[in-house]
Amino acid sequence: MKLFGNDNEEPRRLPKGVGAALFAAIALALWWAASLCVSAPYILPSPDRVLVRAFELVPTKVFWQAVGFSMLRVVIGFACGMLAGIALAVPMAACPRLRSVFAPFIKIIRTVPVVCFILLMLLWVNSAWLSAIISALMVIPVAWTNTLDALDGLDRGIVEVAHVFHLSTAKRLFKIYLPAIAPQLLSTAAVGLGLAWKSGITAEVLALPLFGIGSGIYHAKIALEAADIFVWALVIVALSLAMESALRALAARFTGWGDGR
Amino acid sequence: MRILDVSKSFDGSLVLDGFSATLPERGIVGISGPSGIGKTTLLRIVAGLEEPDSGSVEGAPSRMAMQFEDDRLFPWMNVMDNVMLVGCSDSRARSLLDSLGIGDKADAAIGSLSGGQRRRVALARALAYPAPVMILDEPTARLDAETAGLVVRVIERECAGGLAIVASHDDAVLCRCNKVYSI
Repeated sequence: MKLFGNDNEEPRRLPKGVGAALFAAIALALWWAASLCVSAPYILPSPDRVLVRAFELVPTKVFWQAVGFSMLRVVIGFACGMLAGIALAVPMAACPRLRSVFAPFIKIIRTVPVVCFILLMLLWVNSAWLSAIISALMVIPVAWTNTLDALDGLDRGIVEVAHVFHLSTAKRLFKIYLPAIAPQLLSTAAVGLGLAWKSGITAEVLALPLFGIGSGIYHAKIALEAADIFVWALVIVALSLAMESALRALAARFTGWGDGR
Repeated sequence: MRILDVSKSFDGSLVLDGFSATLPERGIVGISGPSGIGKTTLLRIVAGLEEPDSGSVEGAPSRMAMQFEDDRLFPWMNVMDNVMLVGCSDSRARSLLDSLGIGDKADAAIGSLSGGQRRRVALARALAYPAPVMILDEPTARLDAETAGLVVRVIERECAGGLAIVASHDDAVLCRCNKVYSI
């Protein structure tokens, strides 16, 4: 017996964009109602107050410097993390004995809270680049495990072609294996990007680089400017979603093989 | 090359039962038999892709080209790149594609090709690989009679200096073989 819907029916979905619009409307209404109840803008500002602050902040040079530097750090950290994760996974896929050597390293990164890494790194590296390092560190395990899984699950037929034609290691890797797992890699990248943003901004809040969204959030908290924190949070969501959409579009292009491209 | 009393079973069902043959250094050797009789398994054992349960293959060269039954082309490369993957020159790849009647598809995406065109790209890739032994699994599958005739002529020409082992149901292929083994 099926609890929801009919077995023969296609699940009914809302038209594209309607779901997101409904969510936004409900969230805004709840936010507004809550801000009216609290009636203390330094604790919970109303949506219109946040909008006004956004219009004040966005035209300033400091805002764009913060956005630019944070984005640069996150992108660099994300790219380094992805490359390092893939570079670690490839030899481990080829030589399973290496896995047991590196598996504890990945487990440690996964289980230790990001704040511990940030506080430790603060002692060792320049605060300007701390968030890039932390972003990379958080992306490595995701890239590593997903690449390893994808390589383990490679179609046997593909491996046989490489074997029969005695293809060189470089050709196998760059012309066959990595393109074959490109769709999985790009999905992994989309997940990793979200992680890079979260961990990178957290690192900035603690490291307080000269320019950065995290520094903006920290200073807003000190000044009890809750509206500014909302603005920065919305900026992070927008940037993260925009970059993730770009990656997903790229993934769709890769999985669209065979349409005569 | 000698195939000595080779047997193979999968999940307890015997696919190949004590097959033996002595293959010449040159010429075209056909392997015939109904579907599911073990032709592909035999070719895979000769190519070193499958271990026999008993028996052995002696004198097999280290380099053998193979056209797989299921094409195994890479959709992220175009036709030329698929053929040149095995290390041949641009002109050699173009000449093979021309002789197989798909020269105009050299820059096409694999996904845009018909089943018969893919079959010929897979054959071109095998023929482009310089090896003394060519293993071809149903090279005329999904081809009309006229195109199959063209493909057989190309195989004869390209394999003149070496050995081609061809598994096929197609009489047009089998009648051009120097020797045919029935399984």
